[in-house]
Amino acid sequence: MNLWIENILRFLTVVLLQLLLVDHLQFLGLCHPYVYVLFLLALPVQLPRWIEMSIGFGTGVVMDLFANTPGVHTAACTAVGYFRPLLIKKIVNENDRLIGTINGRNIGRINYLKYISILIVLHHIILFALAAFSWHCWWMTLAQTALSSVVSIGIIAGIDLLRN
Amino acid sequence: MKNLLRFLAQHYVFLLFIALEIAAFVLVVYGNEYPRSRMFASSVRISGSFHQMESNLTGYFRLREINEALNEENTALRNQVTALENRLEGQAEDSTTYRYAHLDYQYIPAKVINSTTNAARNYLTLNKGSRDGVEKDMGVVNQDGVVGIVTKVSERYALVIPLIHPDLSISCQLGDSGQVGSLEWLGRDYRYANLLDIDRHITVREGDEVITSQLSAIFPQGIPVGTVEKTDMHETDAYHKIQVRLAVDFKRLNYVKIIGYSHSKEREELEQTTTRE
Repeated sequence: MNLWIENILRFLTVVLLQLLLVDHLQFLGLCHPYVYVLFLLALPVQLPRWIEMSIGFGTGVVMDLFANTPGVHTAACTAVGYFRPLLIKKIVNENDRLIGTINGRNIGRINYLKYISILIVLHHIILFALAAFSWHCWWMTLAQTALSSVVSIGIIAGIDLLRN
Repeated sequence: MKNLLRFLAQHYVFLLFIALEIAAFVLVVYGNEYPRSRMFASSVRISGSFHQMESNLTGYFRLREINEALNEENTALRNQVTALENRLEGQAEDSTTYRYAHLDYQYIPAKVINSTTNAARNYLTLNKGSRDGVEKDMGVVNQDGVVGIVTKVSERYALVIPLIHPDLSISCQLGDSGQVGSLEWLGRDYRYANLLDIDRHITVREGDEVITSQLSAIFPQGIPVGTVEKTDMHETDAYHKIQVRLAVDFKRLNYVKIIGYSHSKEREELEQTTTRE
C-alpha cells in the first residue's frame, strides 16, 4: 500500500478510536490512556527528522482541539517526534536496515515493548504534567501518569500482537 | 557569520524542537484565557460538530433511562404548576400585579454532546449556541441541580465549565443555617467538591443540603448543589472543612437547561458603578 495512504488511514483510525472509545474508559478517575500515540510510533523510520517533528506538532494540535487543552498534547507529541529517531538508533541493530513501520516482528517483541514503553511514558509524563500545571496534588498526577501509561502500553502492545 | 551558519545547519533539528516546544508552552500558558484564544474559540465549532455526530450515534443506547428522568421531571413540574394554580386562584381577588425582578429567569433546553469527568480541567459542550440565545456566563442546571457556567459560545454550540473544574467557584448556602460559602473543586473525584468559608460556630451535619445562594447573579436561589458528605475541623481552624457530594452525576449528564437571567446586564452594570466610585 502507498505509504501516504497507509499513514493517513492509520491517523484517522487511531484518532477516532481515541475519541470515540478510549476517551470514555475510566478507572477510579485516574486512568486515561492515550492510544493515538500509536500513529507517531508507527511513522516510517526513514522520515527526515524535521518532518517527523512537524507531524508530531500537528497531531498534538488536532488532539488539543478536541480535548480543549491548548498546547498540552502539542508539547507531548513534539517531544515524541524529536526523541523517536534517537531511540530507534539506540535500539535497532545497524545491520537490520529497517524501512517503513516498526513493529514487534521486525525488531523483536522485547525490543518493540521497550520502544513503545519509553516513548509512551515520555508522552504521558509531559501530557499529565502540563495538564495539571502545578505541584498541587503531584502524587495524583504521578499515579495518573503511571496507571495510564501501563494501560496505553498494554493496548498498543495488544494491537501489535494481533496484527503481526 | 560562517560559523553561525554552520552551527545552525548542524543543530537545526534541535533548534526546531526547542522552537516547537516553546510554541506549545505558550499555548499552554495563554490558551486557556478567554479573549486571547481566537483559535480555540473557533475550535469549539469544529470539535462541536464532531461531538454532535458522536452523540447522535451513541444517544440511542440510553433512551430508556433518559425517558424515565424526563418523565420524573415532567411530573415534578406538573405538580408545581398545580400548586401555583391553586395559589393563584386563592389570590384572584387580590389585585397586586407586582413583578419580581429577581424571578425573571428563562430556561433554554440543551443536550450535552461532549463531556469529560476525569481530566484536571473538565469541560462540557452543549448543542445550543448564540443563535438560540445562549450567552457567556449563563448558568447551566439539570433536573438534579447545578451543572456549571457557560464560558464560550459559537453560533450553534456552547462550552461549559462544570462544577468539577478548579477555576470555577460558586456561591452556595448551607441549607438550614443559610450561611454562605463558596464551592470549589480540588481536582480529584468528579463526585465531590468542597464548601469553604463556613464559620466554625455553625453546626454542620452530614446530609445537610447545599443550595445556590441569593448572592449569585447567575443562578436563582435554592437550586440544589449537593449534600454534605463529611465535615472536619481542627481546634485552630476558623472555618469548617466540608466535603460535598454533588447532586449532579457528571458521568451521566444528558439533557440540561441553560438559565438566562433577563436582568443580569442591568444588575452587573449597577454593581460595577458602585465599585468604581
